[in-house]
Formats: sequence, C-alpha cells, structure tokens
Amino acid sequence: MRQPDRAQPSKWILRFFHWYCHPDYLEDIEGDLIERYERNVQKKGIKTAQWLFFYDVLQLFRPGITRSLLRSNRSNHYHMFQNHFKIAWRNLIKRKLHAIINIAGLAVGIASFLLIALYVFNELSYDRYHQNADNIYRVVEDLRTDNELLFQAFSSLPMGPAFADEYPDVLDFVRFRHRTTLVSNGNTKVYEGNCYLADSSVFRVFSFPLIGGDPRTALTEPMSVVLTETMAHKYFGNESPVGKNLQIDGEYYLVTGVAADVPANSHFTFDILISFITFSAKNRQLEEVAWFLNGVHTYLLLADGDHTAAKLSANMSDFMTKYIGPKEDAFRMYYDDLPLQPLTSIYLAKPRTYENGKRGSINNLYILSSIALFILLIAGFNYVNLTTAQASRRTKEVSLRKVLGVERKVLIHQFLGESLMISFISMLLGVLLIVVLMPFFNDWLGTPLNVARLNHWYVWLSLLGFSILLGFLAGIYPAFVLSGFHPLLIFRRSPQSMHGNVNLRKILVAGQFVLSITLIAGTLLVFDQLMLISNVKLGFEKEKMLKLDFNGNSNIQQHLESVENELSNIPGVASVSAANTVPGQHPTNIFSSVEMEEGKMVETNINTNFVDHTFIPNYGIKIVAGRAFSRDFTADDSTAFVINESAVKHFGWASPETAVGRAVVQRGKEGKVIGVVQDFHYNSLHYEVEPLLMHISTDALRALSIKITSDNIPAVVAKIEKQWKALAPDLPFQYSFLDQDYDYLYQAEQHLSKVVSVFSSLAIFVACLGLLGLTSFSVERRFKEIGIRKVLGASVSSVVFLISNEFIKLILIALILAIPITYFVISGWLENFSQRIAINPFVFVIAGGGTVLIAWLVISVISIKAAQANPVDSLRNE
Amino acid sequence: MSKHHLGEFEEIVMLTVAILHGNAYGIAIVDEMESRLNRKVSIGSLQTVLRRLEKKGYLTSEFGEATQLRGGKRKRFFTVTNFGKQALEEAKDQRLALWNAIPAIAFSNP
Repeated sequence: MRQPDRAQPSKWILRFFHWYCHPDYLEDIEGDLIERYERNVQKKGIKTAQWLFFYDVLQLFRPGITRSLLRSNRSNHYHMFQNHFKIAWRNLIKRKLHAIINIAGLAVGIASFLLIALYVFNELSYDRYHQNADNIYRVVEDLRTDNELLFQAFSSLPMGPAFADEYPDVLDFVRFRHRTTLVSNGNTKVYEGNCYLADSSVFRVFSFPLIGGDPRTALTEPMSVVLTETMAHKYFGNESPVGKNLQIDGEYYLVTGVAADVPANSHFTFDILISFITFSAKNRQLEEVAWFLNGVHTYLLLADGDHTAAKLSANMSDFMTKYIGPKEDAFRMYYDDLPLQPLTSIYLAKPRTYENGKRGSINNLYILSSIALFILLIAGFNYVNLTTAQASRRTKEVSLRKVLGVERKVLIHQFLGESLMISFISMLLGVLLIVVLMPFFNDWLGTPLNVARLNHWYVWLSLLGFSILLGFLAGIYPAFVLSGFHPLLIFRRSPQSMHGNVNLRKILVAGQFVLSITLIAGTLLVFDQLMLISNVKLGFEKEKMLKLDFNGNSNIQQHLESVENELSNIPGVASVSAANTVPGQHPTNIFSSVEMEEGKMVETNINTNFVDHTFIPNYGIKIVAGRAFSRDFTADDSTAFVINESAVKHFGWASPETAVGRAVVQRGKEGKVIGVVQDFHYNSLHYEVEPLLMHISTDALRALSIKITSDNIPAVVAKIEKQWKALAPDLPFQYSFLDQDYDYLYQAEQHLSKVVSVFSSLAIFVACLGLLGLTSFSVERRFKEIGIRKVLGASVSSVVFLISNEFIKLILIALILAIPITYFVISGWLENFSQRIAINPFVFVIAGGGTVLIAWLVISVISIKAAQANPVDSLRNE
Repeated sequence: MSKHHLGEFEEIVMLTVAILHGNAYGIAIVDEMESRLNRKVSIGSLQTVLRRLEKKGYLTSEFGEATQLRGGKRKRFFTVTNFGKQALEEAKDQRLALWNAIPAIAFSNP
C-alpha cells in the first residue's frame, strides 16, 4: 500500500495537462490540482481521487487555459527556431547570386522533370481508360510463306468467331475493317478516311460511351451506322442524327447511335462505325473459310487477362490445326503463330505491317526519361554542391553558436532545416513554373497534356520525398560534419578540411558534366539522324505533288485517260497519274508466284501497287532495266509487271536485266516482268525498302497524283478545283500535298528533336549555373592566395588558368566517361530506322569542346575579375 | 452601460478573492466559494475566470514560496486591484440602485 501523503496523480494525465496548459499558468494550476488531489486521496481514497483529478484536468482543457497553437511552450526552442530562420534568410540575402542559382537551378530542374514526366505518363496512358483494358487482346499474325515470314497486325475474318467458339474464356470479339468512304448528307460531301466496319460487340468490349442510341443494339442490324459527336455535328449540325439516314458510298444507312469522340490517347480512333453485319450479309462464305484473307483487326475480350492469353497461346497450334487444317496440308502459306497482344501494349509495341492508328516509340520514351532523370540529377548535384560549399563558409557561425552553448542536435536541426526549406521553396517554384509553361508546351508540341493530371497524391508524395531527400543530402555535410568540429579548431582556421569535402564535390561536378556532354552529343546525333531522314534520296519526287482522292470511283476509273488529259492541260500542271496507293501509304501485300533464276515458280507475299501508265514518269522514278508501262503495248494493261531493285535482290536474280521477262502470277493473272525501277521509299523511312510489284489495274485506282510545276501553287490548285468540279460534280475536291503527308510520318521524331534540344539546353544551363556558383565560391576562398600570387608577380592569365584548371580537368574526365554512355543510348534509338547514320566521333569533339568552352567562359568571367582585382584589397585585412 | 461589466460568476470570484485577502489562491478560492455559496466550482471554470480578470486588470497575482506540499509547486495568490475594486463597487451601486427603485408594493404580497 502506498502512503496517502506520497500518492502521486497519474503521470499520463499530468503529461496531458503539461501538453496543453499555457506555460505561464502551468505551475500554480498544477499545484492546485495536486493539492486538491492530495486532499481527495485522504478523504475519498486513491481511486476516486484519481478520477476527480482526471475530471479536473479535462475541465481545464478550455480556451483561456490552453497554450496557443503557434506559440510553443518550449519557448526557448521557438526563439531558436526564429533565429534559425533569420540566419537562413540573411545567408540567402547576403549571397544573392548563390541563392538565385541554387533555387532557380533546382526549380528549373524540377519543372523540366515534371514536364517530361507528364509527357511520358501520357504516352503510357494509351488505351488504359477502357474498363476491360487488362482483358482485351489483339490477334495478330506471323505469316509464313515459302521464302519469308511476315509480321502483320492484320488478322482474318474467321479468327474472332473461331476463338469465341472454341474457348469459353473468350467472352467476346470485335473485328474492325477499315474503309475510306464517301459520306454525304445535304450539301456536305466528304471522303472519310477514318471509317470502320465493326462488330456490334464493340461497345461491350471497349469503353466507347454512346451519347445517343442504345449500345446493345446500335450495330446489330445491317446498314446501320454510329457516328462520333464530331461527325454528327459535321453532317447534321445541332440536330440529333439518331434515326436519320446518312448516305455512304451512294447507299443509305440508318444512324443508330452517336458515340463520344474517341480519346486522343487511343492506339486507334474512329469517326464512323458501320455495322459489320452489313459486310457479313454479303460475304457469308468468306467469313467462314477465308483464313488467309487478311484485312481486319480482331480484338478479343478474355475472361482472365494474361492467364487466359497464356492458355490460348499454349494451344495455338492445336487450335489452328482444328480450324484451318494441319500445317502439312497447308496450301502455300501458313501461320507460324497468332500472337495475342495486350491492348495496353499495342501503342508502344514495335509496329507490325498494316497497323491501325498511330504508334508511339518506347525508345523515344527511354530517351526522354533519361533526359528527365539527367536534368534532375544535374540540378540535384548542383544543389548539394553549392549548399555544402557554402556551408563551409559558416564555420565561424557554427563555432560561435557552440561557444554560446548550443547543443550539436540544434545545429543539426538548423542546417538540415535550412536546406530542406530551400529545396521545398524550389519545388514549389518548379511546380508553379510548369503550371505557367504548360499551355506553351502544349501549343508547341500539339500535345494534350494536362497539369491537373499531376494532382495526384503519389506525384505530390514523390515530389515531397525528392525534396526531402535532396534537402537531406545537401544538409548532411554541414549538419553532421560542421557541427562536429571543436570550436577552437575552427577559430584556428588552418585546416583544409574546413572547406568542405572537396573530393565529393569534384565527383559531383564531373558527374554533372558526364550528363551534360551525353545530352549535347545525343542531341547532335538525333539531329544528324533527322537530317538524314529529311534529306535522304527518296527515289521519287515528293515536292509540289498534289494528291487528289477519288476513292476508287468507277466513273473516274473508266474515264481515267480523259480526266488525266483534262487536268494535265491546266497551265502549271506537268503531268497526272493515278494509283492505288501513293508513296507514304502502305501498299497491299498480295500472295503471288514468281519465277526464280532457275525457272522454278516460288510463292511469296509481295507489296503490290496498282498504278496507271503515267505513274512511273510522273513520280520521276528511274528505270534501271527494261521499260516502264506504255500505252503502245496493249498487253501492258493486263500482263505487265514492273518490279524494284530490292525484288531483284530478294528473288536472287543475277542482275536487273535478267529479271526482265520472268513470269509472275498474281490473283490468277499470268504475266511477266517488263522493267525494273530503282528503289524508291514508297513507305516511311522506318521501314526498309521491300520488294515491290507494280501492275496496271484500272479498277484498283483510288487517287490521282498531280505534279505541279508552277510556283504559284494556290492559283493552280484553284484551277484544278474548277476543272475537277466540271469533270466530277458529284465528288468532293479533297486533296493534300505529298511532302506534307510525308512530314507527318515523322511527327514523333520531330517532336522528339524539339523536346530533346530544349531540355538538353536547359540541362546545360543548369549545369553551368552550378559551375558558376562553384567557381565564384572557389575564387572567393582563394582570394588571399590570388592576392599573394599577384604580389609575387603572377600574371592575370596564369591566375585564370590556375582556377579554371581544376574544372577543366574534371570536364575532360567527364568527356571520356560520356562517350560510351551516349554511344549506347543512341545506337538503341537508331534501331528504329532503316536508314541510319553512322555515329560520328566528331560529335563528341563538338560536345566536349562546346562544354569546355562554355564552362571556361563561365569560369573566366569570375576568375578574371578576381585576377584583376588589386591585391591590396584582398590582403589589407587580416 | 457602464464601462465595467462583470458577469455574475466574475463578480463572485472577485468578492471571494477580496474576502480571502492575501490568501486567495486556486484551491482556497474554490473552498471558500463552495462553503459560503454552497455551489460546486470546478478548477477549470475558476481558473479561466481568474486569468480573464487578471488580463482585464481587475486582479493581480504573484507567486508565493514553494513548499513541500503540492508536489513542490508554488501557489499563485490573487489580489483585487483598485481598478477591480471600482468595478465591484460600481456593480454593487447598480444593484442597490435597482433595489431601491423597486416600489415597496411589488414584493409585499407573496
């Protein structure tokens, strides 16, 4: 049993009271409480007394007694804190240049990083908005013939239904078949290039919300069509189109739904969907047996994502044997595999032939991410460097504080807090910067980036984490090392160790320059490659070539010769031709037989373009053997094939001359090669020039190519339009210029080059800021040394050399390290192109030399000033 | 309105402090009030009022000597200032004036 007079009130309750009570009132009220408690113990026993005590303490917890939130009861700490703030602020103000360099460098670094991160996030966000995103897979094919293996994005008509029949885990399938259609309603008549036949399941599988109409029935009937909002507005204005008729390719379709516009971050988009059954109704048989007639993109909805996909892939050959028949019985071609691509991977996957929609490049993302990381690292190194360097100037402050009795703990708090504070400020500035800059960035790149996307807890958390880490790293040295010195040692002010960890700083500076040089060299190489692409000999003339669509209109096809004559008679027009595909579009891949050197017929899938007689001369394509198509030979209309040099190589013919006269069988037509053309880049430069067949086939022609000679292009276009309206009053005048279409193919690279160049410059800027700060620090430190050297007769140039020497050495080391890094990164990126630059070693000379020059300039500005100063000024005070 | 305004509890606390003359610290005031007025007073409400009155200048306080009791904590003794005295007198005068103004007939019949 405790003695009553010794009874103590509960420590916990008392602690609570201490926590909230105003410090001025604490002592006497606590005394009152204890007095009452002691009396209660005597009168009512410990237990009751304890309760009453608790009750009293609770009742005291009210405004008037509690301390204010702002004024800490640890008043001493509070004042210390205030003082720390004051000193931190004075330090910033005293060295404005350093403060600006420090904060601006970090803010720019963080802003650049966030901007790139947003861009990368956007690229990674493709197709993820679908509710079933993880369960949708695209069926693609690896098609094998006698002499090649083709990787196609296409699949064939029966695949989707067969998968759904065979596997209960395949919940649904959607097939899309692309068509370019002539759509008209009232006065609006336009070729729509983004039109697809789609199975009615499209709205079940994908998350394309319908604004009007019923998603379950919208595409179940033949001749029904769903428009996107934009299309609905284009053809029906503000009226609702649902239930109305729309003319497509001369036939009337019923509009059964309006879909929201497809989000920009989709690997393919559509403007118009026509019910697939419209096509199936006429092609029942095809749909069952045409296992090798490709032309649709098939998507499967799987029950259990990866798991189901793995199961399907494992059984693929059995599946094919069951539905297509055994491989051994296959007639001339067979599928090696039918790979299943997860929906969300399609956008960044290596493109196959016949892709739908646009594709990003994972390599570009790697490059951008590395730049983002580089910038962040450079900015971070800077910050750590400058902060530690400057902290070493505050040794006197530290020792004075210590002499006055400040604990080491407090010093640690002071320095860490200070560096954390600055890193926070910079982070906030960085965020502010990107909020302000975002619209410009979007304008400039045409990207739909949205700052609001950054407003996620994990972004804030990682930013916070980063600034804490950075503040901590930068503060560690002053906090733990400086605070540990004996004050006397500091006042003695001799040892070198007082000037901070010089080696660490050197490593960081070298690291920064490794990154900077890598960026400069990388940027130069990217530019080189892009120059190569834009200047590469395409092998045909793309300038002033107007492409006029007629989408295979049979009237134009039948009267082609007179149409071409009428158009080429326009002054300013040189010549006119027609073709199935123009250069830049992927030609059709057609199964054919070709006679080999030894006379054997071999099956192959070969790119084929259907052209007219004037196509080859109109595009200025050179003949290397034989002749081009001619109207003088009537047989040319059906039996003549022109091939390119790649085909000669591919089929192993000894020379272009020996190729002429070889037999070709295609779609039942027997003919022979009449000529060989020089290779021309009929596809984008991302692809190699593949073997090509050209063949005359009037009913496959879809677009006119009009070569303009006049420099007054608008005037000629106006004349062509007038003539076109007279010739084909029913058809729209829809044209584009081939060189612009071609440029569009390299949009991704052009974006990349813009982004890379800007952010590389920023990175170099930040690195130079750091160098500027460090040099001025180093000069300041050696102020007296410079003075003495000058008194002893050193020249200005020798002093400048002295100071710049230590940095230049670092940059040279950095250059040596940067070369392999750049080489590695860039050669990865170059893999994307068929036409590649050789990595020019001169680039590294430029990058290294440029960096040395810039750094030297920065260093000189400061060191010359120091070297020119009168030594008296520096030596006067001791 | 006069410039001083005392709440009822405030007035009682001040009067008690005056009664205890020089010996008015927390618990003593509580005890005094409890015994004289027969009402429960919590330390919380008392202390709030004491501090408020001190801030207004009606009361002043100083620490006493530390003793073995009360866990070694000093007592804070309150005294009424002149200003406080004025306020109390004014309150009393106002009350009296009101009492005097009541016509005799009003309270004559229960």
